[in-house]
Amino acid sequence: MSTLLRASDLAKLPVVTFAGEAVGQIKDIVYTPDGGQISAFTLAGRGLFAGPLKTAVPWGSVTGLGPDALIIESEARLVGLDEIMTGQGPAGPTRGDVLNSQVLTDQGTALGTVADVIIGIGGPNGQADIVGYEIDPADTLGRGRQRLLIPLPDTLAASAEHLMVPAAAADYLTDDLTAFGGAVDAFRTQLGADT
Amino acid sequence: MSDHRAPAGIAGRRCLDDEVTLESSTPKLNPGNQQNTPRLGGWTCHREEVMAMEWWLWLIIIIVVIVVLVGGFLAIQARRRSGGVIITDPGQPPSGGPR
Repeated sequence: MSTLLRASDLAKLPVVTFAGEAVGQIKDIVYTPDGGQISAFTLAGRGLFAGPLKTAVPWGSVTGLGPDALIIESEARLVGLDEIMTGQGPAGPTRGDVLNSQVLTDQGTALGTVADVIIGIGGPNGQADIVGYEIDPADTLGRGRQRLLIPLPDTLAASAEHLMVPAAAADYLTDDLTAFGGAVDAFRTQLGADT
Repeated sequence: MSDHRAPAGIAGRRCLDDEVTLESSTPKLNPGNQQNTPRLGGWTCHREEVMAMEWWLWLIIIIVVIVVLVGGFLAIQARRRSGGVIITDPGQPPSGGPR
């Protein structure tokens, strides 16, 4: 399993070119439900007075992503935000932010609301994928208030309001990020065996 | 010469323009001038108190306005700069990535 990161760990990371120029910082993470692959990062300017930028970093322009910075070759690799948000770029039109969306099983049970998203980086094809959600568990789950990690299948069913997961995902809930990679692998293996 | 009506509480008292002028200049420049003393107990004096109160009120109002504006600005900036995880409809699959 690849390195696992929370989406909140990536937010506000500086975006730096090979020339050492900081062109902004990560604002949003854009991903497609088909495969859960990250397609782009939107940017915000650096500094207190800066707002969102009208450019974005497509995943194809990322040359390095570490705990302290996202590296791109040059500022010329940035694309217009419109391309990302309107489906003219690597992804289709946006559906909205998944944070605080409700997670439902395919049997209609609410598991909780999304507090963060778990990203696996450095998979077999160098892709960054959404592999799980960190959720604030629903009271009906009977798991207390502690946040839990829930693995996701390869293909996600999601809108900005509801995120659907197979009911079997509830069997792999954990609160340990270091052990979560194994839970994701086991869950996906089980799904593959079931289908 | 025009005159000003005294505020409530000093019914019937009227101040002339020159009294208002003396209020701000004479007592400070010539505090021992007894000719001006009666005026200090009238509307002029009262007007001085009102001015002092207004000064503090304005100061407080300005501070509150500044705090509200700065707080609002910071809240708006925090909201503008805050990130999320945006889902899109499937499109052209991304390619490349860290090498």
